[in-house]
Amino acid sequence: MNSSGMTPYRIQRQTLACGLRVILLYRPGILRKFAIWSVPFGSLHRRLPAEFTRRDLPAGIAHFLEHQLFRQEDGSSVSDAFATLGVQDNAFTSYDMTGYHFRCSANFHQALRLLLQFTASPYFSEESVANEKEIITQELLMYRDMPEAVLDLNLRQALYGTDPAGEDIGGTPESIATITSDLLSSCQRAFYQPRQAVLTVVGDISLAEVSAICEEVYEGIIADPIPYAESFRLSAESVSPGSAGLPVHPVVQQQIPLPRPLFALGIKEENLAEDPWLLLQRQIESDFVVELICGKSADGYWDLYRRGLIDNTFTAFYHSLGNAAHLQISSECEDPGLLEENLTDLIFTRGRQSISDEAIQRLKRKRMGDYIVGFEDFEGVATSLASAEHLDLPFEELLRMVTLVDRPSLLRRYEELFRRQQMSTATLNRRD
Amino acid sequence: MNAVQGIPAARLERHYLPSGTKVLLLPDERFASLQIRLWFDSPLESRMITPAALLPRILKRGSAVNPSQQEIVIALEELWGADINTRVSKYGTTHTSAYDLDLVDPRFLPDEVALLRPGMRLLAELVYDPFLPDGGFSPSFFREEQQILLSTLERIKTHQRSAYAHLRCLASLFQGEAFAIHHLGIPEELRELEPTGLLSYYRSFRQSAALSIGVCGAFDSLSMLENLSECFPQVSPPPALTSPVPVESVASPSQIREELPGEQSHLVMAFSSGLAYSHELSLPLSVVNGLWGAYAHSRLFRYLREEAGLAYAVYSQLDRQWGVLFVTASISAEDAPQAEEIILDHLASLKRGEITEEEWQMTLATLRDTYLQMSDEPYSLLSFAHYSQLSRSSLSLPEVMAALQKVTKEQVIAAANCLQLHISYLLAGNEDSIAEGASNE
Repeated sequence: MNSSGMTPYRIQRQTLACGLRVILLYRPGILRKFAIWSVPFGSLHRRLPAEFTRRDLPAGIAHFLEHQLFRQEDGSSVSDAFATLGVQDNAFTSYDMTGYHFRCSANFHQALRLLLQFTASPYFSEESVANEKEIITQELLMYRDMPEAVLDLNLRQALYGTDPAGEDIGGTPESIATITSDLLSSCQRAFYQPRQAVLTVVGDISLAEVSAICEEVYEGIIADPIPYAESFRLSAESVSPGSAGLPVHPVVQQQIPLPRPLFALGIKEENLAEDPWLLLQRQIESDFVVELICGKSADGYWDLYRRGLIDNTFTAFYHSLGNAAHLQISSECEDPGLLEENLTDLIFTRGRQSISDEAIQRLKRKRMGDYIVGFEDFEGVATSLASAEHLDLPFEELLRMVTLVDRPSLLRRYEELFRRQQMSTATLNRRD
Repeated sequence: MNAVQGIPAARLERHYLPSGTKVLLLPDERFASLQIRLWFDSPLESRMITPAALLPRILKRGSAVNPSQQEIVIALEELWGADINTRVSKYGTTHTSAYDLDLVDPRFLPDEVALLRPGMRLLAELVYDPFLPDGGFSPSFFREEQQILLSTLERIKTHQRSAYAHLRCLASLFQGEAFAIHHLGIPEELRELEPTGLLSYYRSFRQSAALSIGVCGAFDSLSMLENLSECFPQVSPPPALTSPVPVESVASPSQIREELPGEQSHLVMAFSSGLAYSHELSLPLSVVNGLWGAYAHSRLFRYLREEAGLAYAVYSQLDRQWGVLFVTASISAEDAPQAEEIILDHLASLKRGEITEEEWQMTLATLRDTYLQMSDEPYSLLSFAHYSQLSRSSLSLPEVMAALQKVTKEQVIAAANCLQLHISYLLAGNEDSIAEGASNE
């Protein structure tokens, strides 16, 4: 058990006998509570451990499993049981994590028991799997109708090719067609063990209370923890070498009906970061560099904006996908060629000049303020806590690492990341 | 202690500044942020919607003190990541322009810093002291923001198909009325707008829009009122707002089908109830909404999505101002008749009073918890206070929850029986995929 210093509210941790890691963010005086049970199983995980006969997994299976887990043997949804308590539940799948969560103001104890029980007691039938395929196909079609999502996927395909980092989290109608109840069951057994999971709770409750409920539930339902599932991580088996090196395609173009073209530029990290601390450092420093060069307080941003080359759709961020990562900048623009020309000039030629001590100090204050205000977003902070924990990184270190950022470190990061040969572009052109 | 008693004591304080501005204070030390809201309320009028949408974008581009948005952003970053956001919205027959200031609570910062006054000054300068070179809005700022707003409006059709379908349904439901117009305005009017026209709108807005201010966070009420009086001394007229007349049912519902290239189709069904916000069946109508489609345990999610597998997204939402309930389902075009049948079947079932004890309890418990959670969120607390003001409701959150607990099945059945299908709108995707295959180099 421990507590931390650089956060506005107390964070405590405990690892239970069953292996479950519990994190509590204590918020005194607040009725509202949020809990998320998560495992490091996301769309990038495409191999089962060696103990399984069929080891290759189809794209989208982690997301499919997340959907299926809500289905109960009696045909009901677990959401009904949550609703009986007045509790609203949901779940998500990302590249490297699946999370099941609920928020409530009353009946927290019962809801937590339910969360732990249903994630450990799956029910799969061929009928429910077939039905889920129809629902998920509709979800995938929904994303195909969203130009920003299409652009994002095209850029990742340009950078990572057929690697899982270049695929949709939900897979494709074709890939999910191959999913069976047996395969889902294998994934649940391989990736959903308590010793792989992290439970994060935010609210006015003690760690002892939360832990006692976890111990009680797991004692009843986890009879035989599977030993091989102990430390099956992203770095170990499931990230292919394709995630590193040069981009697969320098340019991807597509035509769809749009009022104006959409353009995205990506710069891929040349080397994977095996060490989670290096991952975190890269993320923090890259976020600074991106904001210094093309954030809303930067000259470069306003130069592009006032010339009509970017607009309110402009985004620029550093995106970690497991061990792989890339910088992504995108905007709607009437003339994508001209935007590319100006954007590359800004980031490759003039970028260094934006990295000034004065701006760095200002952004550090902004980051600290954002970090503290972020504690009001229970769902966001709980997910960040869980995500860091899965990488064995204490979330509280984030702020300390922000204070260590300086001009030399950012210039190093700039030289390392901003390499022309690592760049791809994706454009959605207008089709009338 | 039951849940209603569990809500921290109602802390809402109502004050008036010497200027006549109404102030809603929620002093609360539990949060890490301080939130300040300026709400400018006016009667909703068609001709004002477009300039009202453009105005905040121009005001954010520069004040007399910081004559560029870059300078404003830098000043906000200096204040430990303070943020100013603007929104325009329609709420019944009220048109609201909101200016939000969010600050980190300085108690949590390592150094003792003053954020409140400088932050409020930045907000006041942005709203009341704009950058006016040569006595008018900067023509270049105007042109840039006009073009960006036009692009934003054009994108709704291709980038937000479900929202576009809802807008098309609204256009038919409120034909010829201001509420039919998207809150970001009308492209044709926007193209014709000139900087001088916007300046005239800005001047009349300052004179006629009723300002209320909401603040939530850790502060002393007296000194907060002093700060507000000094930063916002402008005289504010009392609100001259009206309550909407609820949409009445029609003898025969309209069936509308439009086509737009795309993978998915979007069904939006509007049901009118004729129930005003103040009607005794309005709150029971929100229970109908919960039973029918608002939640993951509701009928539509359970039967249309989970059982029939027709949709990923399906939900209902109630506009209590107009007494209209909308059901939205994103589906394949060929499944539209079946989806419509399921939606109508479940309304008919609710009208017949076929409500199981289980779904009744689930819905009431979920609604109750939703209100409980609002009592813990600064943003929700302030929004609830503002919307209560617009709805002329004097009920506090605990009082709304107490009223909810008294709602009977008979009232819910009666409210369901007020619902009549008004419009069934289908935005059908073409059979061809919108996207041609991507080409790589």
